[in-house]
Amino acid sequence: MRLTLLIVIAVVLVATGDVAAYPQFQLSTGSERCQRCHLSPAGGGLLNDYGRSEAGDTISGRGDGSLLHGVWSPPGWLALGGDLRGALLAKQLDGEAVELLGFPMQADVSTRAAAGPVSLNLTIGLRGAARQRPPGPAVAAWLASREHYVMYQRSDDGLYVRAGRFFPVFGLRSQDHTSYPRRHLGHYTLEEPYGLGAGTTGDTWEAHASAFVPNPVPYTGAGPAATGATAYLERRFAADTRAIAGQAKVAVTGEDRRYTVGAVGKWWLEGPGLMVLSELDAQVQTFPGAGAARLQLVAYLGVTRMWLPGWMIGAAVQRWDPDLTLRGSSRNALELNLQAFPFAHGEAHLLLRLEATGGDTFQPNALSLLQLHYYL
Amino acid sequence: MRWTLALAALAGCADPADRSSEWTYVHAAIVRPSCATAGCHSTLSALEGLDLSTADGAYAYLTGRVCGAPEMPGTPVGNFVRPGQPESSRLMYMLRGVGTDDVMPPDVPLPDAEIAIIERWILEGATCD
Repeated sequence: MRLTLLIVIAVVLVATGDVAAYPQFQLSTGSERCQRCHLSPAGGGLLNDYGRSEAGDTISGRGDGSLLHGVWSPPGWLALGGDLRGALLAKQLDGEAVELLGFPMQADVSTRAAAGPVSLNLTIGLRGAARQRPPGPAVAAWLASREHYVMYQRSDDGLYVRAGRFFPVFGLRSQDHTSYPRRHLGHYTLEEPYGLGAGTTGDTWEAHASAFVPNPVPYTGAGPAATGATAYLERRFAADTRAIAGQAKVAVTGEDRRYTVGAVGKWWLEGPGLMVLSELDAQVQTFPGAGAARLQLVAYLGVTRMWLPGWMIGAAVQRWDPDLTLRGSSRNALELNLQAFPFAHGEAHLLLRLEATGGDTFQPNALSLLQLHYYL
Repeated sequence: MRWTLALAALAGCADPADRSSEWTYVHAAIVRPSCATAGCHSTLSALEGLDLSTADGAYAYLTGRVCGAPEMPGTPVGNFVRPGQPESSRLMYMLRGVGTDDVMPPDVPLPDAEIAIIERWILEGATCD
């Protein structure tokens, strides 16, 4: 009953709301790769001119996707943008009272200054705080720079090299940091390492590789202090309606070592308007100090019905096995996503998720999260 | 095919008692990934003064002892863990959401299998090996 009430409340709220660009847009909108619309090779963040045009024309169907709705245009060497995201959350853990939260989730400003093929990229913003803002130095408690890097990129073949702080290209790069591939494979909030990355593209493929080291300033990030490397190779086929990627990662800390191999699948079914996204990763985690090892598994399968312009509705199942052979250690989630794009720059995203831990599917934890997102 | 069958056969066949209860394992396998996230008990946030991101640091915060040092007099820093006494350890009540409003982790509780490993670590003396 209470879950039903939460869902009703959330649906009512979203009816007046508005949401952004996710991996669902690759292939389904005719954009064959992330960098078709984004300036970053990994996608996300600043949009290029084509991406801004698509945001207005193809995705929302109304409004001007340009910076500040086209009121002012920066010079060609400068790109500016930003993301404002607020969240309303209702959560009920097994047997507990419903928790209601409202909080700022994101307030980032992004800029890119380019001189020929070389660019300086910076994102800085307000740190989100769902329940409690941390103590400590005021600046570190409130501000964070998720990404800052220098990049060289050729325009003819897309070859790039970048150095600085960024997430390596790896896996389904969802905007939802709580999706299991992101949450459990080192791409959670503020876990961007420092590194050196490179990649290139062909007519039907793209390849990326990165080497990374721990964040040298602990007060600006989180996650395992790992040194390692990633590789990602994606191949598109069937007239850019399908893609398969293989990926691998090694991450070493003082406590453990993780070796990951995985595959990503993307399939656009134009007839029914369905976008299928999937990821499966196997990871071996070893503990040199404890003489033990365990096999881990991350699985994601999502289907999104695209009613562009304006709407997307999707369902996804996820599984995280931190120890595949340990009975009762898995997490499973079933979620529904309703996303609305009422105008260029605006987005509303309602997430409803049931999540069971330890294989308990009878009394799952319930989450409803409404995000309101505006980008400059 | 053989590997697939082997994995299927192995899936979910072990109990928590089959896993290491050494602190280095408990921290790297359970505490660090579940607790030391950006918005919680990382160095970055250290909510409630708890930074659980490193094994030695987390051990000190949870047990009130410094790993490798002789036991110090006085009240433990956090009093979350009483070595050998999981039934008297605040941490266990928080993980199980029993008798407290501070269920940890607050977003998604740990599965029982991982809680059982932590319980065994406490029961066996909560050492920092």
